[in-house]
Amino acid sequence: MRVFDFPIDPARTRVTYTFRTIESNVARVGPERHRTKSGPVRTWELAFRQGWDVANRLWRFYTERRGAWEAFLFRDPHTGEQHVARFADDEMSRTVFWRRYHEGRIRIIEVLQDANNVTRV
Amino acid sequence: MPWSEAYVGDWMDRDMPSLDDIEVPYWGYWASGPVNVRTETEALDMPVKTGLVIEWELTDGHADLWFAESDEIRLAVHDSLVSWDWTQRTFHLQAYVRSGVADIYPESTILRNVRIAIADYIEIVDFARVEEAIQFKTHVTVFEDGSEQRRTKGRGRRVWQVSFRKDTPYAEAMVQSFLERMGTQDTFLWRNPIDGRRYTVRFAGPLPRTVRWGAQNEFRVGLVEVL
Repeated sequence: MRVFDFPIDPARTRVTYTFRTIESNVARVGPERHRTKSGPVRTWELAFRQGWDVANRLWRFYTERRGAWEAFLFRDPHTGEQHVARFADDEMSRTVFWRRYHEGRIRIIEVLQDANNVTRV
Repeated sequence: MPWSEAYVGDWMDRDMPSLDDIEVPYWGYWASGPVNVRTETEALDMPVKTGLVIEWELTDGHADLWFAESDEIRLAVHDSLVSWDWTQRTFHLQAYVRSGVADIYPESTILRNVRIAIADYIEIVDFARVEEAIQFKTHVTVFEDGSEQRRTKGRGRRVWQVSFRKDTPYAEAMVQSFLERMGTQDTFLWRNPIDGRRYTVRFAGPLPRTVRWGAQNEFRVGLVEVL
């Protein structure tokens, strides 16, 4: 499994924790019951502002993963823990200024259990 | 006949075409080996007429470019491209020239090794800002326990948002080209300014044209790769 090892813009990173919770009291009658089915799933929102070489390498990495399809290993920039993750979106965009500086944002989502091939580390 | 196949050789050799030999639109590269600037007195004096982008790259990886748009550009290379620091170094020089009316006249024999690309007008974008995106289709099935299965559909498709700044004759040519292609209907080949590769594309939508003072024309164009 490939490793995501690209420098990110430390100016602003964001991580979101999400649980899948089922609420049983839909009709709002009686006490509510909640059951957590899975989670937490981490989603990282990262910005990159890079030069030509790194930006192209990241672009190739995304293309080779075929967007959201293939999982990879990602190290949480806050905790340093490594997770199995994939790109959250099927589109990646970048803005190139004067053919030198590349800017863009990516979202990476944790894969709890990968039915494609790999389980959680 | 593609430029890359038809016009390859040393500068001004017998195979080098004159403007009369070139059909419009044309595109492509003329390439050769590295340039060696031995002393500052050999700094290149290369008048350029209607040049748009001149790009050069040092063998140590440093790259830069010069960009302008004018009908009459006389670019003294030693003024803006080759500084004193560039002597004793080897570099490649690459020039993009607008089709049909463009030419480069090297006056120094050292420019026999310049690498030149001649591009169609639609390949010369405003390099100040180019937006590129790639889109995939992935079907994700999330199971009850949180595990997921993913299936990918097709290959990635690129889209671009680029700007053009053209003076009137070329703006008219762009509009004419858009009309002839019936907007988004017909496809054409286009060179991506980021990776230098050619893609079969179509226009993504309308062609907005902003004219300032009746002279400068700006287009903001969406292009979509056709797989």
